[in-house]
Amino acid sequence: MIQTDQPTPASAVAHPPAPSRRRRGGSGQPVALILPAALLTAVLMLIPIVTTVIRVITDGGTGLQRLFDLPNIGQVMLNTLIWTVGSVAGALFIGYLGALVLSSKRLRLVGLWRALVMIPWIIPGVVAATVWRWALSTDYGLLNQTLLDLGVIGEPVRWLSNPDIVLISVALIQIWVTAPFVMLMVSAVLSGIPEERLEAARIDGAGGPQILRHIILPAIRTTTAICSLTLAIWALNSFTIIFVTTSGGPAGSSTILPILLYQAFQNGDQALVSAVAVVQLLIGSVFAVFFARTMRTDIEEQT
Amino acid sequence: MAMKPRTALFAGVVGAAVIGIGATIVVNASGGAADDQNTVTWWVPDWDYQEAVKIVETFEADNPDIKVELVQTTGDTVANRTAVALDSGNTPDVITESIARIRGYADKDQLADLSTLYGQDLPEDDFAPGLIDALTVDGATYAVPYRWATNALIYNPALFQAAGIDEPPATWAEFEEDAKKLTQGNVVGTAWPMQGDASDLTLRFLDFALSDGATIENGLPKLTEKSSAGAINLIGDAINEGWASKSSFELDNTGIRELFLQGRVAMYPAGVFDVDAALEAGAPIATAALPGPDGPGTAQGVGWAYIVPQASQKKDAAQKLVSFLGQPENMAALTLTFPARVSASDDPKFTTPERAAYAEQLAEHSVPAPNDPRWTAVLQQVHDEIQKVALGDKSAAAAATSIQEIADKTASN
Amino acid sequence: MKSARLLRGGVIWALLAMLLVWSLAPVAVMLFTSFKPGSDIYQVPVRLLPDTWTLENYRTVFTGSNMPTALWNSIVVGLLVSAATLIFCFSAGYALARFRFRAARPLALFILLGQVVPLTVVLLPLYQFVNAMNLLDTTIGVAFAHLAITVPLVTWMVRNQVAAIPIDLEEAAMIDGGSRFDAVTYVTLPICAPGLAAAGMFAFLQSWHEFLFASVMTSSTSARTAPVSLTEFAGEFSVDWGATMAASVVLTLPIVVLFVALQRYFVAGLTGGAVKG
Repeated sequence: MIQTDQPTPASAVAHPPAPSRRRRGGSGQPVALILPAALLTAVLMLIPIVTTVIRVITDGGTGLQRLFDLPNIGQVMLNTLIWTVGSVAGALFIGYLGALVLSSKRLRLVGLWRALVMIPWIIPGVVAATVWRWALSTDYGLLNQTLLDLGVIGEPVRWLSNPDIVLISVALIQIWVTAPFVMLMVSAVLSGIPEERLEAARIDGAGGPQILRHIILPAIRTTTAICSLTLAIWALNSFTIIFVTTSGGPAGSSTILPILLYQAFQNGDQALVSAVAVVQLLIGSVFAVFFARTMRTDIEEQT
Repeated sequence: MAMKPRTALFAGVVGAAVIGIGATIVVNASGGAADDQNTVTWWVPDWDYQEAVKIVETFEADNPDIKVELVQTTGDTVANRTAVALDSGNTPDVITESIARIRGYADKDQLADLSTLYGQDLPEDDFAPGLIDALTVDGATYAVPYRWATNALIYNPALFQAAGIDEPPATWAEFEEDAKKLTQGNVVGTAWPMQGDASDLTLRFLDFALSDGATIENGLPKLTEKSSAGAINLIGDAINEGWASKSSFELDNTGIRELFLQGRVAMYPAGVFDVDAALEAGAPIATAALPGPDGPGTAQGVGWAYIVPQASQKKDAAQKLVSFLGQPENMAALTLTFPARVSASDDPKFTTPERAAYAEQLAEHSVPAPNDPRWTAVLQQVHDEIQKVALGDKSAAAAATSIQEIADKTASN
Repeated sequence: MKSARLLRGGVIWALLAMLLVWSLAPVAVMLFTSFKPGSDIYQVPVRLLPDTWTLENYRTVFTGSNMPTALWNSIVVGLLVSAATLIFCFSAGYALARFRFRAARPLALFILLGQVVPLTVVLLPLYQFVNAMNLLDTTIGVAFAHLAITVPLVTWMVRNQVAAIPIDLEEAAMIDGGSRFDAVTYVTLPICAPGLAAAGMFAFLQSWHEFLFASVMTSSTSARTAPVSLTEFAGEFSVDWGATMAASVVLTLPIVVLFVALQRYFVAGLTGGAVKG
């Protein structure tokens, strides 16, 4: 999958062999090919977005006003930030670690291990959240029981109900679910680093840390960017895990924007739903623009 | 342009897939038009489904020109689906919905007026007190309630005996005192549902507040700071001080029941289903009226009703079905708690000894729960205020002031 | 030297063990709880393994619930979604990768933006659309709604895979006298196949997981998918945890098997041309 000299649309058009395509590809063709997907996206995404934005504008900003008048809005924004940053950073860390471990030449049965560590990602979200809620429970939780038995803690930790740690607990679950995705992406890059380059580095006397710093890290730079942005967008729209485990509690200490949106949705409060959605869209678009930028630099570097 | 074999194959497969999907859509789109004019669709929750099948058979025998199609909903999906269906205008003809949500739909003009159904077959005064009023807006009644219930206090007599307490608490002071006595070792006096749906906690809060001077007017609570502070003390401070379970933050109604069944929670306000569950599990159980400041407290009635969407094309047939479902014997058959009509309560399944406290609570110390959507919209905020007290971040008095502000603002909107 | 290598090997295996515990402990809780009888589930102190093993929960799932139908529906919806996604996204992704035209960048950004929209916002318009096509409460209707989730990301994945294939290869095929379609079927598709398999599986996965759309778009058991059916074990007043866990195992197993079977392609395909060495 890894080519160092991939031509891209841009380069291909700019350089000679291109005419053959120009001759064949009439100007209508690309649009016709994209049309089904674009139409679908338009129907499924554009119309709702436009409707939402229009609704927010036509109600004279009362929805937004009410949103920012909510007593806990500051806390919700802060929670959203902590949750997003924390779960992205955690997933990157565990994902990288996992990918490095699984790429080790000393391991056997790599295929099996890789399949096993992927399970958290392919398990349905509702199921994952339910199991974790069960495992972290104060009354019946296996984690507390195990820690008690080992003598690590003296009394059960209220993982999901202590306002000081609840956000960390739910972020851990999100990390558990999304880290395999990073592992997968990074594994693919690592497997693409030519063995000769690593050998050459070793012959030059480079140790593990140097190889990591000078060969591996630069190779996965773009992937890191892509992963972070994808993870950030997932975290920003993620709802199931928090909803199932804490419903945003206690006292709103794990409430993030999507939870707020869902609560408004449940109350049939369309004005507030639209307002939250627009805020989420704005933040999301910032990510999307970054995403597009990264992809573009990626493409340009490849030429 | 000649195609190579694999290209032809590929194009063929894609073409066939596209045509297949397209054709199915067309067939579906045109097929739906031939919808039978005499078929009434009824969205029924899965827990009522089996009884509903039997009742529908009788109904169809009585009304040979009407067919009823039953569609099951589940507790987790009924609210979303009903809201989306009503908003979109593509609705079934009869829906079993929670009474708490009905006013919200009615405010958006999404429900048919069912006032004409009431009368000889369905006398308004046969329904639980205040119930029909709660479903009436500007003279139009938008639902026929069939199920009605309140919470009462359920307790574990064995734990009470072990703690040297002879009687269930009748007042708030006794409730607190008993709970403190009962809290030892693995056992806590009581627990509150602080996880999951915000309305579980606010329902209990409001029960206590209503017992101490708060009222409900036109579906909206009128609170006083004094009553709120007293209620928050029983819930929030109780957890903070430890005579209600610290794990309350992780418990929903089901979680508390499980702890009760294991003898780890000594008493708690609960619905009649929890009584049945305890009896079935062979756990020690007895019931009493909810405690109030100085005597029996007030409990809110909550329940389920039948609604007919304004967008239904078959309102006449739908109303016939609703009227039929409103008859006492059908009401009794479909009710897991208590029937909404007094004349249906004679059924032996409503008169067991453990149910006596519930019947009394319902008949003498109950009011319909608030159902104004403006109140529903602030439940989460009220819920969070109570939790702050439980976490020790706020005093009961300060939280009561905040809740008063929330409620006043809601009423003025 | 040798001992250092042994040590390093030991560290790797230890890290792997930690990784496996972290990844699999909750899965083990799910698996073992599914074999516990009702009385064991709330037992205190909690133990991972059941005291008595029972298949009762699985019996409930397979004979006493709508789960079998729901699983079948989930498979049908998943296959429909992956097929439709691949058709839509291959054409769009190919065009985005291979043609340079003025609308390309805005279109690509626009498709990407679809990733960012909160699903609750899309719910009502989508419901109305599916309703207008008379597809409510059908597997096709659910599949259609799921396309909203899969199309944006998969288009992007496919675009990157196609962009990674040297265009010279296609041109060589065309110089030999083939049409552009021939070039695509003989050159591009075979090279992309692993990536497309990954993309198809990704779409299947997303559809298999999805709850919100499926719960609103389906009203009867005839079209209800497995995640929605899972909520049926949570009754009005009580939750059958044993059956929920058993159903979860049943829901997870096929997708794990599918993943193990396809993982070779998956690793290579998911990242495709987006990654450079």
